[in-house]
Amino acid sequence: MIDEKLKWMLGKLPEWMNGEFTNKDDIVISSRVRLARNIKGFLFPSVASPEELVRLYYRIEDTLRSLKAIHGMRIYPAWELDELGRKFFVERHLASIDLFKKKEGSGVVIDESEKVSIMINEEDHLRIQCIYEDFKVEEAFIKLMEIDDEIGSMLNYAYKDTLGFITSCPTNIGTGFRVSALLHIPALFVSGKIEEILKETISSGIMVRGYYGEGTEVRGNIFQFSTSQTLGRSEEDIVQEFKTKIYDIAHNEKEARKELIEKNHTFIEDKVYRAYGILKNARMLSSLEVMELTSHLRLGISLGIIKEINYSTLNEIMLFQQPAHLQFKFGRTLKQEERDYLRSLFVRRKLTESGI
Amino acid sequence: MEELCEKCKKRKSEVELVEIVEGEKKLRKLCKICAHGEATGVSMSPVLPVKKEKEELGEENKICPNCGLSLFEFFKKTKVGCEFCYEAFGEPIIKLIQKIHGDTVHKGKKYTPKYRVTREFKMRVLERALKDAVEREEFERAAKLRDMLKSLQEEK
Repeated sequence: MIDEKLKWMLGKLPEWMNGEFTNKDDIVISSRVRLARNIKGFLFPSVASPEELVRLYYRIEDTLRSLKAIHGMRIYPAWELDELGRKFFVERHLASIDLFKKKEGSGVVIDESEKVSIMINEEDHLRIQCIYEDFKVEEAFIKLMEIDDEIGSMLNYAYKDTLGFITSCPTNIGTGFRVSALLHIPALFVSGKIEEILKETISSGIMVRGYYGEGTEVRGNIFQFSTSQTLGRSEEDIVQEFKTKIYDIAHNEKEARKELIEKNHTFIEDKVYRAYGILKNARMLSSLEVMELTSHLRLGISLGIIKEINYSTLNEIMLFQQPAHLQFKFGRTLKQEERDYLRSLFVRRKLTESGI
Repeated sequence: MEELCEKCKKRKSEVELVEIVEGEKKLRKLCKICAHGEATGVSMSPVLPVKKEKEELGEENKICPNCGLSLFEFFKKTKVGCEFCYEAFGEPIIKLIQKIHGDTVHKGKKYTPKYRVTREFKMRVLERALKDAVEREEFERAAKLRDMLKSLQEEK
């Protein structure tokens, strides 16, 4: 029942979750850049027939196999994955929920480090993404451009001089380029400043989304911020503007943390230790609860309240407590109640291993 | 049929929210995302900025000769069927693009199959990143960026 082809990912974290954060404030968790591309002469996925999509899928797959910019490539046709396997990819941020809505003729290609993922026949023929840890947008951006050059030299993209890269949805036309970042901003939340800041951010053209991207809910005070304009600006300018805005939000979070620790030290200490107490002792934990509580622990680490746990351990808990990961870890399908119990067991073990 | 969220009218309603309005209990059926927004005061960005009804359009319907998708169908699902749709639909879709992006002309990467990002481009991007990293005292990242720049220089 556990897909053999996915086992290699079970014992490890994606590289963007693994690295110890160079940014000690731990506000920007990860940065993602992505491109939407379509192949000239083929109908787009929303109107193409399943046969056409399958034909195009194999053509794209063949081409991608020879990519030099991707190391240790793995290819997963969506129709070969079961429900659990598909969720596993979504939980690792390697594919969208939408990719698996239609199974025939779609799939995902990833590299060994899980920094690169290419979705085939999702909303567009190709969705190429790079995720890096921290706020390493430029590193991700250059990698993405190199991959795009290579694919574009082998497959002819649908492109027009005035409108740029032609995409399924007008919201992506032009560059087909979006930058996003996952931000952990608990202090803005606790201090009630979040509403004002999000309002400002949205009106400045940055979109706010949940933990798994479009149409998903916020978990553990982690928000996804992403650019919205794809036409009329160069990719370089889009990156630069995004950075300025995210630095602003991070700055506000930093100030809010400072204020919390100066004015409400006991309150915040209590919040952190309560979270620790529940995670260390509870016998039933839901996924959402773990996300909320690990958020408090994460804040505790960055404020120096808790020193025994590191971010990698926390990331491992965050990743493997998710429903599909948990079931993979325990090697079988689990009912809700069983899941909540085994989740608490897993969390307790991880915390004990880290020595507290 | 599934019941849709009262607020966004797009996603399935999964949460029931009880509100007290002027002393009276009111039950609202919302999706998880809107319910979260109501509960925390934090609203997420809309899924798509524009969706028009046929009547509002006031345009003549047009059909893309390549894929057969009509303009009205496009406005319903907001996805085109092929690379020729934009030309076939003309003004109404260009207006929509202007509304979404505030522009109608591409200023990014100019694609040809032979196109390659230049060394100068990469260096410019990395130099900017290095400046930010130093300013923010992210020394480990700065060191790696310097290595990347150095190897680009050596490529010359």
